[in-house]
Amino acid sequence: MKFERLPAKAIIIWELLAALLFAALFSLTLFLLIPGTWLWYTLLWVLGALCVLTTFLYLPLYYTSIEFGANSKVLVYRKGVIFPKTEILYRDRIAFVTVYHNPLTPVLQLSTLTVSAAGGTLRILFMSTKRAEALAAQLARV
Amino acid sequence: MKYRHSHPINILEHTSRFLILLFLPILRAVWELLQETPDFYEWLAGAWMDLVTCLCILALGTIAWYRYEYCFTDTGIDMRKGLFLVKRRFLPYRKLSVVSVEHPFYLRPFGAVRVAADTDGGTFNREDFKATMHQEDVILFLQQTSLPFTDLSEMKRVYLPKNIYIAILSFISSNSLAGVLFVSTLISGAGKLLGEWFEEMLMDQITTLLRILAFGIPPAAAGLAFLILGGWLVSFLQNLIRHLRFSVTRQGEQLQIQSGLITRREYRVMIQRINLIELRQSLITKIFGFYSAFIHANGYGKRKDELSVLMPSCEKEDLSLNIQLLLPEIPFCTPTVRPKLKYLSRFLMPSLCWIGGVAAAWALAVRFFGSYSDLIHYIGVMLEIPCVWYLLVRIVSFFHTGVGEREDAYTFRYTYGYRIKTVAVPKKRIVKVSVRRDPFQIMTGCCKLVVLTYSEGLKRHVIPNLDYEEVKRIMGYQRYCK
Repeated sequence: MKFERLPAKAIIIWELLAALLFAALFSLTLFLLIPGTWLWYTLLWVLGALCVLTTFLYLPLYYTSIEFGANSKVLVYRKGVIFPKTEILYRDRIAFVTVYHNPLTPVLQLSTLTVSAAGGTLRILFMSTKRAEALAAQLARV
Repeated sequence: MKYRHSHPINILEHTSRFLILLFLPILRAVWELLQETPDFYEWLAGAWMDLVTCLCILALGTIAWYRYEYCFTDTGIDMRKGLFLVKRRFLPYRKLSVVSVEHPFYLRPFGAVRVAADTDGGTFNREDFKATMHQEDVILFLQQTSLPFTDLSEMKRVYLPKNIYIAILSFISSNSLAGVLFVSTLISGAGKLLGEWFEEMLMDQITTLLRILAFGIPPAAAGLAFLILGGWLVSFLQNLIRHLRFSVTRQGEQLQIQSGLITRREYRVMIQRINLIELRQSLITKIFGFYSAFIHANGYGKRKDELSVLMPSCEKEDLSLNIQLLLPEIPFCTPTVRPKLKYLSRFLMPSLCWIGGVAAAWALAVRFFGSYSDLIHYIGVMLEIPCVWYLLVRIVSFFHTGVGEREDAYTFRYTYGYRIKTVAVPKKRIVKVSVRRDPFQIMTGCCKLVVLTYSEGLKRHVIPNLDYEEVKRIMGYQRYCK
């Protein structure tokens, strides 16, 4: 089975979102707490460390950990850095497939694929729209 | 591939989601009324805002309708909906478990019909595909969805129950709460529509009627009794109207179920997606030898107040004949594994504990609140009745409980509360079996068998107090159990 990765656009968006989140948290710390206190320093250092770890280590590792692939029998989805997880869905148990587009889809060309089966669903986020549509068509074929 | 829109009446159905926007005109009117000198002309001058709000609601409904499209391809239903969050779903026909068509009487003049399609996936409380369609689209919908399952050369096998059997089903499946809720909604709804005076007049008339019918009973007790009785009667009539003109037709790999006097409903159940057949009895119907048969397939019996009936009510001979006629793939059989006589105490103990507990509470209440002894005796007797009834059910349960195996299906017989159940499950629809034993069961060599079937939700079948070795043998688990 050939495994595929998510498009590089996905990690750029995650990095941007992480940067925005940390910028908001830094601003809150800078404006709400009294400068120069031990709490102020601790929070800034902790946030700084977390920001570096997340943006330069965790997110790239998480991105590389995500893989998906399908053959005639199963759909496999692997992800996770600290707690790696592999989800396997038998194709004969698939009931229906859904592709979700958000308002930014026309610009970013990213969509979510949800595969529903008896007793569970498998969701692959940030897929390229074209690939999501193609995989949906492939999985829906009986 | 041509995408179709729902029937335009769907615009009105969609607007109900946006009625919350009416809060703005209401707020404006209340604000005006709360002023020291309410000015009607000032309110009227701003009426254009209310008009715009109403137009907005209508526009949102129209957009929701316009953006909801479906298409019947050669292999499945392709559906897309939503303006900002667009959802595109594909349901293969071969994966459908139930297709339903509903003809509500109020949609008939518009030529609109409600349809839904369900698979083994998705959520328990929502259909995977539903739409309000034009009559001509429904024909195409039924043709396409039935194509992989219907063999037109095969003879049709039809089951038509007598009306008395439908009345028996309505009798045993009606409950007071549903009826009381229905009547209270009806009265309050009528009050809103026809004015407060109508609601008050109706309530006065009901109170007067209760006084006449009380026959010396305290009015509160009489009111409660009539409320329960009235609620039950309404629920009974609802069930009766829903199930009159009931019929089941088997052709090919499909079961076609039709019912309803005012609103006609039609369900097409795919045989290979049926999870189980369930025969339900109460103590009374057991005494009279009546059975009600239900099937469990996703999409049938899913909506509010809907029952997944296969046979409303019938006697034992009719039952086996008709099951053989409609669903020979899922046969019932007599149990080969039954509880041993030494386990009888395990069946009776819970109900005896209830009887003893209530009697103890009764005695204590008389001891400490002697001045209310009449009332306490009355409540005590009333509470003991269900406990003694439960004891009778447990005695029946001992003789009823068991497990049998025939071809590719198991038959599980057990009781759940006051219900006596017999369930036939195809082996391939079982997802989990667990054999549980507490320390007392280990000592006596018995166990509790729990069987789970899974599709959109879990369904548990608990068969208690069976011989451990026999359970291992019949379920084929000698290799796995100690």
